[in-house]
Amino acid sequence: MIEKMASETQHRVGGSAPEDVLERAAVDAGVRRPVLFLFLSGAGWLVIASLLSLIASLKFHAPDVMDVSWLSYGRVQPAATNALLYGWAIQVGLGVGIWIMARLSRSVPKAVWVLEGSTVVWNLAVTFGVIGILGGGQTAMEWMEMPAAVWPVMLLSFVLVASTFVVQFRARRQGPTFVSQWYLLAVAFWFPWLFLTTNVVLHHVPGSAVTDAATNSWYVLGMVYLFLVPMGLAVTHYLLPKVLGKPLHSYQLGLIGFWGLAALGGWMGAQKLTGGPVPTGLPALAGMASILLLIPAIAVLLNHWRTARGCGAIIGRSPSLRFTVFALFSFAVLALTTVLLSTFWLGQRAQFTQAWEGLQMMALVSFYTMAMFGAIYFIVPRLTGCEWLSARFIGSHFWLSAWGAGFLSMLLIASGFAQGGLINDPANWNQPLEEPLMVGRGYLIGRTLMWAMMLIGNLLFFGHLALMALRLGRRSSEPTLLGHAEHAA
Amino acid sequence: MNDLRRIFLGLLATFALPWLIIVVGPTLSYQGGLAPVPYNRMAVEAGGDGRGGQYPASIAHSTGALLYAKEGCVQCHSQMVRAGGVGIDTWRQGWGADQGERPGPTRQTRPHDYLWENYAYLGIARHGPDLANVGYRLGERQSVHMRLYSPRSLHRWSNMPSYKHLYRRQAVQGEVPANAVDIVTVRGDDGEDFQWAYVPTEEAELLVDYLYSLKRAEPVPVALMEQLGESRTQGD
Repeated sequence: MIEKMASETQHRVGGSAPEDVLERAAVDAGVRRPVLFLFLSGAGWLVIASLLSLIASLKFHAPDVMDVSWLSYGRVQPAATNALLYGWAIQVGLGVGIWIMARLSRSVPKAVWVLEGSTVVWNLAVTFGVIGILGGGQTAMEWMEMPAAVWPVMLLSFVLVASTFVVQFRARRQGPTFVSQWYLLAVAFWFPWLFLTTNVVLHHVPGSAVTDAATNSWYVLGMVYLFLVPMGLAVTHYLLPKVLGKPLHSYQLGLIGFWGLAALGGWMGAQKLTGGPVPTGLPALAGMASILLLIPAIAVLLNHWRTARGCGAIIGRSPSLRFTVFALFSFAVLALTTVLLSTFWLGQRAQFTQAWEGLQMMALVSFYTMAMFGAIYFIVPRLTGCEWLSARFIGSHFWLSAWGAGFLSMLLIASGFAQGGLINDPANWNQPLEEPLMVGRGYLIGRTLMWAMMLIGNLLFFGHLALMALRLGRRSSEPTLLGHAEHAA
Repeated sequence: MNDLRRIFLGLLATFALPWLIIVVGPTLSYQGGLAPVPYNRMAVEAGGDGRGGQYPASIAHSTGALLYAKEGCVQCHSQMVRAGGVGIDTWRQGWGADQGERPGPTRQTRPHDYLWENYAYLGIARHGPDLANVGYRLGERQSVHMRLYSPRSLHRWSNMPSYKHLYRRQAVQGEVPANAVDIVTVRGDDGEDFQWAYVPTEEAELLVDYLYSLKRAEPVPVALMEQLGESRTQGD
């Protein structure tokens, strides 16, 4: 059991043929700069997004704090979400994706400067977009509030980076492919299509106002289930077997999970507009697909569970796996929450409440971000040749993130159902919104505390990552593990 | 799963179907498809609408809508009355046209109600009341400005942000302007007290114009109902 612990280092220093080790080292060296650049700028955006989210959250129970136009709730909230999604989530996902695809395909991308250039452009676009939102140039379309001018630039730089997934996959040696590779290929395919369609329809096709709103709702859950979920699952399908040093339990379950998501992910979103002025078929189809999504979700979770069974000790000590396993639990709750919000009886109660933000945060923070943290803790030592400085930093980061993210999403979901119940109670037909507001207050104060915790955790993470990128990590052949180091320190 | 081409064909097939049905289909079928419908002047008993003019009777103020978007009002306010049976939107006091003590149910909002709007701000969350029909329930203009300038002056418990930045201050010379939302007395450099009056900017006026234009509860013409294959009671 404990011997397996060494597997985090094993595949770097021992246990495999020398040429294999050299090949891996060559891949790592080839992608080092663009991947570290994506991680660092992503982590910077994560800190900014946490700060903006904290301010937005504060406004809910202390509306007169920081009373300036560019920090009013209607601006700072979308700015925070956009920074989190486009600044952190997409960048870090691309970085992790490049590395995993290069490693699994054993191929180094040729024109690395294209990746770096695109990352610079992407960061400029996101900066312009977030400042645009704060400055009063937002579109007020959910998750695409940035001024319309930035989308072609963002699309181009995304495609330039993500196309390396395809190029490297083609350059691989013949042989079996990995589940993670399918998910990465799919993301390189889904995101541009989703992003292009929505932006063209909303900004450039003079359609009807209400179908535009329906398309926007399709985009939001599309981003969740066709970007965040597959990208996160690419990481979990890679890390869990890799660190445990054993193969994924079942290729078949992997196939069911993948094609199930592909078949259902594109239908969702419009259940948010149930009962609204959109063609009634849209919410119905969206709700149906979201409920059916339980099938691939169960297949994915079962596969991970069977792979990880009996390896509790390793999971507890490996930083990467702790984050990964937390992300997998969140994935289960995410799928369940999506189902609850898509049923007719509970969905109408939670419609337009905090529960929807809870769902988004469950996907974006509790699932995706935690999976990406796990990946970064695994990848960065391999890129920089030094180990993470302190198990204490990692341990603190884990607990701050786990408590913060977990409680944030759960509080929002719970407050949504509590408030929704009051708002939709027929007895309250002539009551003002005071009672639901007061009931929600405790949850909202909790939300602020959770963001404060995450802000501290993310600052710690950014600092730790920056030190690693400067090659100031520990010089050691022993990976930084949790547990024994925490006790020894 | 070894063949890149087959993976992409699979992805293409699975994604193209919802893409066509959820996005392309509705967008194209509604494109240019909605036009105002005239009311039938014949009496209601005789199968008409009993009123003149056309439906929708009120079109959202398009310049004001830009302000509504820019300030992110959608983050907390929806603009859609859900159908009867989905929540209690149609029964909520004040959410329809009738602002009386015991109003009858209002109707759900329909695609025509958003005619000529660039984008229907159906809403992200409903932390405040729905605004689909707010035009009917707003009182006099000054009180609307007061709500935007100082939301807690009306309800102490409100957590709506203040939009003070849509108001500018001007020195009071002689009479206090009638549209002032706030008066502040300060001591000048010369030791004399003088007054600042906070008055709405043009942007604030546009936003209020927009709010007044949100009236989406006028009856749906019989002709349109018949065209959609619904009876008058449905959706009302």
